[in-house]
Formats: sequence, C-alpha cells, structure tokens
Amino acid sequence: MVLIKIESLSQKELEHIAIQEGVQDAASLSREELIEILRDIYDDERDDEAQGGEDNIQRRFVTWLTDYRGDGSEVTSLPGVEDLPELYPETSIHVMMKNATWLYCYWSLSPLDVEKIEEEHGRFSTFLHVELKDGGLLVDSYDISVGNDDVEWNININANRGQARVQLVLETSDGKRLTVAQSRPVTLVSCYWLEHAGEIAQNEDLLRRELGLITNREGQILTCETVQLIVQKIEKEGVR
Amino acid sequence: MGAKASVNLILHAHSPYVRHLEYPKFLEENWLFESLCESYIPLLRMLMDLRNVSSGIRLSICFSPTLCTMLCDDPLRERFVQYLLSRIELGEKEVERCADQAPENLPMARIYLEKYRSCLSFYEDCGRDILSQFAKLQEAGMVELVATAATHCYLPLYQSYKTAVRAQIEIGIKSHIRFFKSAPAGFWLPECGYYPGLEKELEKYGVKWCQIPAHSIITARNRIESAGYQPVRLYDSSIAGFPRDWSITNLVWSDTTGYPCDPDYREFYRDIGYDLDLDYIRPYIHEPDVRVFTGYKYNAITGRDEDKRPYDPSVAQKKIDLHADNFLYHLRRKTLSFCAETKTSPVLNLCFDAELFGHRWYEGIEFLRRVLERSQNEDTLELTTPSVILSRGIECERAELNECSWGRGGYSDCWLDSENSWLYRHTHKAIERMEELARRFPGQRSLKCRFLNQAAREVLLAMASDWPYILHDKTSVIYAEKRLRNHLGSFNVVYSNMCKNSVHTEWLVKAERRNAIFPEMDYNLFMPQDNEQ
Repeated sequence: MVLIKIESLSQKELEHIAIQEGVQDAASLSREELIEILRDIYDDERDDEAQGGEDNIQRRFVTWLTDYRGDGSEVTSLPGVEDLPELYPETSIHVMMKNATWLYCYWSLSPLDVEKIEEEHGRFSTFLHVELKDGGLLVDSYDISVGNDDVEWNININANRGQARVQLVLETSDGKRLTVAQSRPVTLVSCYWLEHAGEIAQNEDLLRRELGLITNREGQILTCETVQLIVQKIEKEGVR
Repeated sequence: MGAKASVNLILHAHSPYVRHLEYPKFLEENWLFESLCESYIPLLRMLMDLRNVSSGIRLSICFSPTLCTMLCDDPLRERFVQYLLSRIELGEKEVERCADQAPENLPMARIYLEKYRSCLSFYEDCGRDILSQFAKLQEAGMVELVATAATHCYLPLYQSYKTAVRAQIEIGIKSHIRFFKSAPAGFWLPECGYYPGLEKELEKYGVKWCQIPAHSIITARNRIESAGYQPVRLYDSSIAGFPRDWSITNLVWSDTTGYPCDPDYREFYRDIGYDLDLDYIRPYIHEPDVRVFTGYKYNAITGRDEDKRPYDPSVAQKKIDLHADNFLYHLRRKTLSFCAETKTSPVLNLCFDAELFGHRWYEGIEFLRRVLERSQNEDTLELTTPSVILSRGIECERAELNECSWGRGGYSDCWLDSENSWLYRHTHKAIERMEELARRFPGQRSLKCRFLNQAAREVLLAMASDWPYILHDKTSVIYAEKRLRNHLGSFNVVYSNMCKNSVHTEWLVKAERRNAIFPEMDYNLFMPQDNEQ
C-alpha cells in the first residue's frame, strides 16, 4: 500500500505539502526544516492514536500526493439541498464497536423531552449507564458521567465475552434517575485462545500454523490487539 | 501424497463513484483514469496473453458496482479517451524535451508515450468496454468474477440496519449480473469487514463464499484446527470463508520491506507534474496551477534521500524476475512444510487491491505475469479459485468469527475514529428515514417511485467506505465531506417532500442525471421485515 518514505520527496513536493498545512514561509525553508516541521505537524495530530509513529506519517504523505486536496468549492449541491443539522430532534442512543476494547457511542436528546423533564424535575445531569451481560446474566455495570452538551463518547470495555448495552440516563435534581434511551446490544469480541492459552501453548504444531498465517518473513506479527494478548498469554503459559 | 497447495489469487478493483459532468475536467476523475490505463487495461491485456500460453492459470477478480458503472458510462469513457490523448500529447513533447535536455530520461519518455498510444488503441479496439473482455475470460474458465457491496460500504458499522445491509448486497449482486451476465458465487467483503450474522444475509442471495481477514481465525470464538489453511464454514450457514494469508501477501504489501520498495523499481512519487516548470506543464495539470501527477516519472526509488537516479527498466526487469521467483519460493516452502506436518494440502488465499499492480507499483503487472506463468512449472502449486475449491466437495470446519476487518488493528478503527465518527449519526438517520418512507409509501409507481428510488440511491452512495476512510486518512478530506453531505442532503430533499406528499420533479430529473447509477434500485428494499420493525 505504501511504497515511499518522507525523505524521498522532492523539495517542491515538501513545500507543496507544507503550504497546504499552513506553513507560511515554506518556500524559504530548507529540505531538512520542512521534513522536521511536517513530522511535528503529523505527530501532533496522531498523538492520540495508540498506533501512531512513522508508518502512519508516511502513509499520509503517500496517499495525499495522489489526491489533490482542493477547497471543495467546485462540488456543487443540487437546488434545494440544505445543510445537515448538527443533531436530530429525537431522544436516542447508538453504540458501535470500534475495536475489541473500545465502543463508540453517540446520542441526542429531543428539545421537547428536555423541556418536559426540566418542567417536571428541574435541572438534570447526564450519565451513560453501561451494562455488560454474558448469557443473559449481568456481569458488570457502571456509570459514565458526561456533560449535558456532550453528544458522543468512547467507552472502554474490559470484557472478553458477552454483550454490551448503553443507556442514556438523566439524574434529576430531586434524585430520580430517568432512563430516556437504550442502545441495541453490541456483541463483544470473544476469543477461544484467550481463554485457552494453555491449550495452544501445549500444541506447538497448531500454534505454529496459526501464527504462520499472520507472521511476515521478518518475524513480525500482524498488528491486532487481540492477537498480541493471545501471544502474551501463550508466552506466560510457556510453549512446550 | 505429493505436496500441493491450491492458491487463490483474488484481486479487488474499486473506485468510488466520481462523475462530475457539470465540469469540463474534474480532478478526482483521474483516480479512475490512472487506474484504468495503469492497472485494469494492462491486467486485462496480460491475462489475454496468458490465456494463449496455459490453461492452468486461474484467478478471481472483483469489480465494484461503482467502478463498473463508471467503466460503462459513455461520457466518462469519452473523458478517458481525452485523458489518454492529453498524455500522448505530453509524451510527444517529453520525447523532444528529453532528447534535448535530459537524455537519461529519453528511453522512459518513449516507453510512456508508446504505453499511452497502445492503451488507447487497445481501448478503442475493444469498443471501450473492458468489462465484457473480463467476462470472456470468465467464460474461458480463467477468471472467477466476484461481486461486492453496491457502494463498497463497510458493513460492520451498519449491522444494526439490516435493510441497508440487504440493499447493499442485493444491489451489488444485481449490478454484477447486469454487467457480467452471470450470477456471482463469491462476494468480496469490503475492507474484509465481517460481523457475525452477515453470513445469513449473504446466504439469502445465493452467495457461496467470501474472503475473511487473516487474524479472524486465531481470534475466533471457537477452536479452528485448520488454522486458516482451509476455507471455513461461517457459523451455521453454507457460506465458506477463505482466510487471507497475511504472511504471503505481506511480501508484496509491506510498506517497508515489500517487493515494491526495492530501490531499483520506479519511484511513484516523483513526477514531472511536480518537478517541471509550470509554464511547460500547465496544460496537463489541474486548473488553476494545481500540480498533480501526469504519469511521466523518470526516477528509481533509489533510497530515502531526495537524490534519485534515473530509472533503468532493464535493471528493474531483473528484479521482477528475482521477486517473482522469491514469491513462488515462499509459496512452495510454506506448502512443503504444511504438507509434511499435516499430510494435507493447504489452500492459500492471496487477496490484493488490483490498483497496487501497475498503478502504485509500476512493475506490478509484470510481476504478476511472471508469477502466473512460472507457477505453471511448479509441481507444488495449483492456481485455483474459491469456487473451484468448493466444487471439489471440500469439508469446511465450522468457524465462529468475531467482527473484524483487514484495516489497521484488525477491527473498525479506520472507519470509526475522531475524524469520521460524526457521519454515522447522519447515515444512520437517513437509513431510518428511508425505512420510514418505504413503510409509508409502499409499492409506488411512476414519479413517486422514481423519487423514492433516487432517495435510496443517495443513501447507498453516502454509505460508501471511501468517505470515512478518506476522512481517516486525511487525504481528499473536503471532497469526501462535501460528497457525503451532498448525498445525505439530497436524501433529505426527498424525505421532506414526501412528508408533504409531494415530488420535486425538477430536482429529481437533475439528481437522476447526476447520479446515474443502479437502474435496478427498488426503494422497497428498505422495508423492514416483520421482526425488524
């Protein structure tokens, strides 16, 4: 997918990227300075990503160069097309699985519902109530306090099986908890080898075959948190 | 038993639906033109050559419905011809310029010029219709053509909306039948995106197999003895999942050590569109003076520095030979050790984006040619397709997979991050409203039916995986966001009009002309089934 390093780019290309990134004096900078500045820009942007680092920086340059980043003004809308609203006037909550340990949740509160609740109960604070169930049994549940202006949240899940469901809960000033919306359940990642690491640790042939599919010639294993956990567990068990 | 592996080479060709006839030239349409003249046409020509060499060559290719639509669109076909003519004109100038000013680049200038001329000639000779040529390769048993979702939607993030997932699958398959005149057995999961339950939807449409990510086997919910070297049966369905072999594909795919990184190969990112004076290059770049690739690239990768040596095709040819042999060596070695250990024959599934070959990796098509040709002399390897494997009555082990993809990290992070998560609020709402329209206005005919069908098209176009990925990758961000907002806004035009029980005829005619895709669309697909209300 990615065949080049930032160092390969010409001065002109680097200047071009830097100008797009808002570097005012790009034309007067040396090649080394441009590379350093661009690395800083992309490092900052990627700091919040667990898998940041050089590969990601390179990937951005690589794909960008083929794709002119215009101002978009040339793409016109058909007559009658209006801007999208920020939110929709309804009370609902939706949850999606981002990866094995994080869910992404977005919600909205209908202005009518808010008005009604405030009339009846006064001010309120907002919570996300997370329930983890396995085979119908409640395994864990907890609240996450969010701001009344928040409309989305990433939820860390520390479970290796079952389902998660999130409720949108309003706690009123008179101490009542009102569940105003509930998400559909999300099936969590459940992994046989995570729970039976000892079994595969004792079966060297099977382990070699399983890892053989996802290990490159340099001995690196495909990037996946669940795979890393399995490998760590197997290492703990000690391969026979 | 002699050791022998079945090798399924599966290529996936896709481009988002980009068609802006309202402008004489539109830059993002170059995505299609570059892929056509550098990947799809060279691939087709190479396969047509090989058909005469050996009957044992087989591979699978998926063309997405959005790509097929553009490949069959007459105005875009004409634009592609104009694109080639413009490259030829530039090539003629380049031959003169290089002869005078850069003799070290003259051989490549001539090669490019001949490539564009030959491409144009071939394109015209086949009536500007390359898909029917691929269909002929399928009829000849060389290629298995594979379907995919209508707009290449990343399906796991829409699993709560069964109507939308079904619409993606059904329209994807109906489009495939319209373009290739045959029902597909295989379904390419966009981005290898799978979730438990998807197999049931695929089964309803007669799909027999799909590809699945490599790590889905080791991270499965049950113990899988075949360890990814045999197709698996997804849960209790009849759908076979063919696990991608990451270890072998990584020989090509790796951004640090893959074959395409070899210093003797052509540098993709050094192009005269960036390097020559604006006055000279202006007619071949984007207005106003936006430097873009022209296709004329004269340097070898060389190293990590700016200084690049001129590209030497004869040196690159030697590397292609070496790399093809090395690739076959790794396949052979894996086969022999697997057979020795298990006394069974593995099925190795090599999935790639088609555009890697020829477009991103200039020498990629020649590499493929060598691999396909030389595999015919390998006793340990047999080129097959998933349908050929299944026709042998192979017993598939049951697999309970988790949600997964081939994106970085193995899950949905690429399509659901801080840059793109906002869009799902809107696409999900559009689907809910489309379901509402289907319930309120079932079985419409004539104008209302067209209006509702256009709404359904806009929903599907908004669901394309390309938009969140571009936002994630921060490439053509503004374009992607604008497209998304346009599709969703267009849907809202229908929704608000239908809520007033009216049809905006003028808008409809323009919208149908602009997004001329999916003639088989039936908005009733969005009608939730009884248990989904």
